[in-house]
Amino acid sequence: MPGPYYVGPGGNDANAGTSWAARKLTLNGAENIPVVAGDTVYVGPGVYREMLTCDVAGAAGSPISYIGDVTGRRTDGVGGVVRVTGSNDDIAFTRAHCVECAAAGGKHYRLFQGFSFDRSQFAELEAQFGDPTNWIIRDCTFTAMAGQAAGHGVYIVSAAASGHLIERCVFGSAYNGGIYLGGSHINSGDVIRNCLFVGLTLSAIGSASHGGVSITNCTFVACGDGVRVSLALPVNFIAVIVENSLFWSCQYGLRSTTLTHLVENYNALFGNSTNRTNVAVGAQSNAYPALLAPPLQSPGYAMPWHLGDLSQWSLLRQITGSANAAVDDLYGRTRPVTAAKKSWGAVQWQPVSRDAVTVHTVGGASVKLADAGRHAIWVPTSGILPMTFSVYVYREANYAGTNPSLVVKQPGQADQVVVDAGAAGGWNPLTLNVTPVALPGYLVVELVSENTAVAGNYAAYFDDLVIT
Amino acid sequence: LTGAEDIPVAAGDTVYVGPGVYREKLTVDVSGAAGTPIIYIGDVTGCYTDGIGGLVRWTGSADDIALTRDHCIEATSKNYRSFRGFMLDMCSSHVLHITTGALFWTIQDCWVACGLLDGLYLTCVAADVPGHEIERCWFWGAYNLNYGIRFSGATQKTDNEVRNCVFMGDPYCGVGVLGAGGTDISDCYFQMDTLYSVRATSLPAGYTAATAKNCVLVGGTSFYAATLGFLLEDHNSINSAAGLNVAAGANSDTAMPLFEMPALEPGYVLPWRPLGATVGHATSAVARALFGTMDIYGVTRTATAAKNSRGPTAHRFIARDVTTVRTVGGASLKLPDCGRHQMWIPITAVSTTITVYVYREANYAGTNPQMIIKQPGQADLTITDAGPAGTWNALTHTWVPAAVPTYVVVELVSGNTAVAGNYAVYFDDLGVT
Repeated sequence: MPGPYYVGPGGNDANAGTSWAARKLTLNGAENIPVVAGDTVYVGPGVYREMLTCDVAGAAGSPISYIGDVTGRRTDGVGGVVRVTGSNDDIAFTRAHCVECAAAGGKHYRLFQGFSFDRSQFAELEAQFGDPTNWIIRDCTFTAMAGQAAGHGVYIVSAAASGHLIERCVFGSAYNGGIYLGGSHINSGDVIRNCLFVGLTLSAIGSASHGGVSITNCTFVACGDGVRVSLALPVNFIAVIVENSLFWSCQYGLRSTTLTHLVENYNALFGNSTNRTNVAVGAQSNAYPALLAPPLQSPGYAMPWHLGDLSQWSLLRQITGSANAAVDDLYGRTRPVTAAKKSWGAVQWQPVSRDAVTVHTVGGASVKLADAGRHAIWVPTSGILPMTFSVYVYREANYAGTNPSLVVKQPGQADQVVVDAGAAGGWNPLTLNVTPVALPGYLVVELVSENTAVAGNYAAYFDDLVIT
Repeated sequence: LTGAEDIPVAAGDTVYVGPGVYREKLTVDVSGAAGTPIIYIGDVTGCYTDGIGGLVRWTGSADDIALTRDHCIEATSKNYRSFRGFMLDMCSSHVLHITTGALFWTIQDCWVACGLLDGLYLTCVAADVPGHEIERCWFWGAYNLNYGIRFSGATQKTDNEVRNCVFMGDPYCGVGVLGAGGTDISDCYFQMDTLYSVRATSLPAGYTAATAKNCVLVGGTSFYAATLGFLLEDHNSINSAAGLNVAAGANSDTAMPLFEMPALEPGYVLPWRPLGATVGHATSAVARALFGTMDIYGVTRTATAAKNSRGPTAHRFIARDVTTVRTVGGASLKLPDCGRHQMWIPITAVSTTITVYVYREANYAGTNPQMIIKQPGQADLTITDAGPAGTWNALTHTWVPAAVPTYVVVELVSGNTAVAGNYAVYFDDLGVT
């Protein structure tokens, strides 16, 4: 029976699982269909109190994908967190893992996206038995890990080139570690990027004799270790590489048993008890403070805020990183094309402020993008009624690169883009006519500056956004 | 700031500080008085200053790299001072330093980061007097072997209060009570304060113990007292290494907090408030001894003690619902239990009507659901559901908002106190005209 398959609350594992109406109840119900290489399983918002045992391997170019459908577009039409927990009562650690690899081994090419994992006895996502390779874990969160030696978010052990990719994940608030990479290994090819690690008691990323790991654009705050190579790499090793990352208030930022096994560059380390142990200082690394943007605290108001944003004062927002910088960030935003304008760390800096001087309508205020960046606005939709978006844009004289643009995005649909074709120094209208699809019930309007100039006046201003 | 201080300010004065960056050290020259403190307010909403709003940063650095000045604020024996709404960072010593016996300071809604020594260092030398109040502040990374907040002195009973604060990654301790008896700490969140979350030492004879209640501790080490009895803890969730000389509170537990995590979707930034508790987590609804009335995000805690969470409030009880809806085919906002949902709505200073329909289930108890319209600088406007349960009732209000800031916050509130039966509340068809 061909996929895709669907899983959600109110389903039944006796169902075929081939539509939302005929959805399975459990992740294992989908797995046991069985899924085959190339299948996708959409998992609706809800809580799944089970341990998924991966019994099947995908194949190169056709992984088996489990997608947590947080927007609800493909499942319940409502959206929300898709939680897989190891606990039955939200207190005790009931099951060993949230996801595990079957003991039979060889379960390669698996993908997990959009899940919130928590509260298992050992690793929440465990890829160990039979050296699974080429797993992709993205847009997932891992929290409340067990206080045990193996109580990590992700636990990977491999003896062969494993080629795992972990990106855009948040590891937080745990009495243990984030990612454990085990297995004596010359060159694993594992990649970890755009991940945020907050408050992990042990190592946010730990490599035990696991070489050839590339770690880029990650942010480590208040962790026992940021990155640690705890067991020496084997002979002929490829070093663990760390670049474009931020380490703040960790006990140890970068820590290795042996010099040269952990190589770092283009990183910022500030306020750690110990910045480096057995790690040479990268030529382009610095000790700039991260200067994360704080929430706007005002009594009685909970103002929107994303942990990990750099403030406008952080000098890490505009310095040249390594060639390995990720093209997107933790929140899925595209980094600017200019290397010197790409933020280090997991979250791309967005240079947005209100401005009361350069305005289209006298007496009002505009949205100012002081440099390359994106400002996103959520707009609810009503079914499939056509909508018109118009906004005025003003770019300063020295702006260079692709002109500012208005982008309308809806999850699951192609982006619609209109680029400023008017002259600099004047207010130019941008208009898009969009017919949304029914789900999800919102669009995202993005106001975009792609400025590449580094000197002169290059800000972009947007004003008088009208939606009809 | 120094220019304002040197006017000079006098008891009862308020100084509104506009959004921007202030690279200076303020030496506090003047005392306020009981009931008439001297207040510095970082006007993040722009309501009282530039009409735009933004961060009000006060830094010890001249270049955002080096720690240039020793303190942002320094005082000696000056009383009744209040600071609110500032981002304080990058000092080569303590961000705030009170060297001798100042009394009755209030620090609210501040972000304190990147001090080489402590975040706040407050001495308390007078005996048996009410003390300092620190609430809704974030403390990030006090550098080296230091504290987020250090109370120092040789005082039996200070009545210092620390509540609704977050301490993240202080390599030594979150709060140090060094000779300041009677310091009470409640509703705080401690993450990876490596040595101890709270440390009490050197209390003088005849001391009143320090207390820590309704807090959540993750990582690091929990509580330390030089002598058994210096520090009493209860109603805490402790997921840290064992401390020393602090008896386990009868109502404390080891329930790991299940914090709300972001819903990540490629290409989209979905709103998220870190450290808010999830609906299910075990500390989101536990009866507690005392608690702050407002959490770190400014959200009022629920009236029923058993429905209050430790640390930041579990106010995100929100779900969309497609079953109980006023308009067929749409979706409503569901509050499964007491809680608040806030929405930002842009406005101009013209007559405005906001309407929403509310439906409460049969077993709902307590104050009926409400719509509260809040605008910074203005009194809240509260409309309470006066209709029967089990039907859709309209909540509506018409008024002329103030010109700045150019938004209001509409808060949809369930005040449910019932613990059994069906007591959810649904809101639908919000209209703004």
